[in-house]
Amino acid sequence: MSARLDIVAAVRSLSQLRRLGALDVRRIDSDGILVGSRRERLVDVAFDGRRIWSFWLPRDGEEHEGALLLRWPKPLRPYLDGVTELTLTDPGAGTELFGETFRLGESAERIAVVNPAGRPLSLDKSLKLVETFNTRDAAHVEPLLDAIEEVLGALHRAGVRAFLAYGTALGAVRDGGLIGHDSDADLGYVSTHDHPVDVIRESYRIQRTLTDMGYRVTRYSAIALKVHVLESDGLDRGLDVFGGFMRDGLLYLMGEIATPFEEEWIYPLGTASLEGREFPVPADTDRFLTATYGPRWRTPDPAYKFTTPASTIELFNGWFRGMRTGRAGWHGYFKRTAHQASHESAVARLVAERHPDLATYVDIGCGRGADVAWFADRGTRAIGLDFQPYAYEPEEARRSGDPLATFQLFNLLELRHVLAVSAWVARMPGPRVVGCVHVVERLGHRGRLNMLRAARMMCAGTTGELHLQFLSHRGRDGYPRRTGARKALDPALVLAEVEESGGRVVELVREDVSTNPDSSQVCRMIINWNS
Amino acid sequence: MFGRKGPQAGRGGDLEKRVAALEEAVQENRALNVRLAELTDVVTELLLPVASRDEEKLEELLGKYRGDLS
Repeated sequence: MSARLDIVAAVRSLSQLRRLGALDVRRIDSDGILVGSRRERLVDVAFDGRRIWSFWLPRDGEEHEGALLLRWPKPLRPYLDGVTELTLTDPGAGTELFGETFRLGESAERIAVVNPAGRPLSLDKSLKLVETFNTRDAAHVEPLLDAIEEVLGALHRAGVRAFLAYGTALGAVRDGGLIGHDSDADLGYVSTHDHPVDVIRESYRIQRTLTDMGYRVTRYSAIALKVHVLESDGLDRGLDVFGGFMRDGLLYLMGEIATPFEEEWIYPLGTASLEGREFPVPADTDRFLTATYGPRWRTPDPAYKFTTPASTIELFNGWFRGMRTGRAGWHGYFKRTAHQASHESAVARLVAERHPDLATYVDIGCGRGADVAWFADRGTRAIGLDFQPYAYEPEEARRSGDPLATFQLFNLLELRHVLAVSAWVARMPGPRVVGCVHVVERLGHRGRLNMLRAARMMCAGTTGELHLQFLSHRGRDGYPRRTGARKALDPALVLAEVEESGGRVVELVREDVSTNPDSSQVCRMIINWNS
Repeated sequence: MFGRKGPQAGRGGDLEKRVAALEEAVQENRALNVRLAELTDVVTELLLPVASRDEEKLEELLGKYRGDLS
């Protein structure tokens, strides 16, 4: 769809715009909605009668020409080409504040905010464009209720007493149903442990139990998981499961709640009705929802923003987060470069030349798996490791019958991955050589030390070595963006870290990647831990 | 401790720096919870079976542990 927003402009002149209530809409164009009113109020925006977006005045506006500009949220912009009847309403009173048919862009078609399958989308409170519940009819809601029931049962079998949490609890308690502008289902549990270490270990155990039951599970933090359920309508839906615990009179529930609380306000659980079915909720729903959304939880707010104190966010960051750093950036990179032809790296060719007897090649940060495929085609066993399975899945599928090519999820920010996967590799035939190309630039100190620790374990007991390549000078030749390296890393820093890991750099080469006057430069190091 | 050494020590003039150092140290300490849990998990799930020297069992456990990662 065209993202042309240069025009815009109302079809009718500004004087024709109706000014109802106190909203004082001054202009609607490609930038957004310009409003004169500064009175605090919640506004729903609908296109052709369907809610698309909600905002709070004056919170979400920015100063512009003496008024407040509500910019169209970025995810919505590609759709804003066509004609629609725009209405602004006060959802509390249900009164229409403004209504006008107008055109954005050049198209004469109706603006259709839908996904490729034609399903209607709208913005949730995090301004993500999603399929919200208010557009799902009963036939679509039933499979979700089945999924909630199923995951609650699985968590019960895994030994925790889970309940509806966050928006799902709010909808059930307040309205007896799913919240129209919500798009996911949230569950929570409060551990019987009171120390973060034990609560984290329990979360690992829950994950193993769920995986044993056949569920696909994605870990979001040390105590938050997404459990994927294939709904009866064929949709893969992820239910978020947030871990929590009580300690010194405080309830901690990932990832927004840290507040004085009593255990009796949670357990024994009560029930609430959600779309006609009974589900477990904390014993004192008023206190629980007040802890989650504040004392005004009874008033609907589709533009709600958590006002979690910075101290709580920092606490959760320190205790439980940090294992997904950089993942979204790499996801974007692989999406953007999906069309780019991928071929073997200079490191792969160098390794093949230097190690004619090579038995196993391991690529840490294998991306789409071009080096793995290249080695496998040469008859050498190759293991591709990456924390972004999205990148290697197509190659993995193509190689499903190839015993020489194996891919494995591997996150350098999780010590469990580093130790267990490296121990697995260390049992493969030697000599084993590890390659790591344009990965360390996007890691911090801990991630780089983990990479060196993994390489050391993988090479142990063989004459193997680590071949490391990273960007050492960021030129203006597109190379940093093309490779995903983004920024340069000082070789002196890497040398110090290699020494810290007990390794030795046996060769160091710096070379320009092109003849461009401001060429990017890469640094290649060969590192071993044999001496 | 936490930046108290040096000419400003005890006079509070470097309070801002000391608080920043303290905050950094607190975050580092908090992060130890995950490290310790990870390490304990690996030891209990993998290292203890290693001690039993059951090669077949170990291979199976390594495969399973790997498969459970996400």
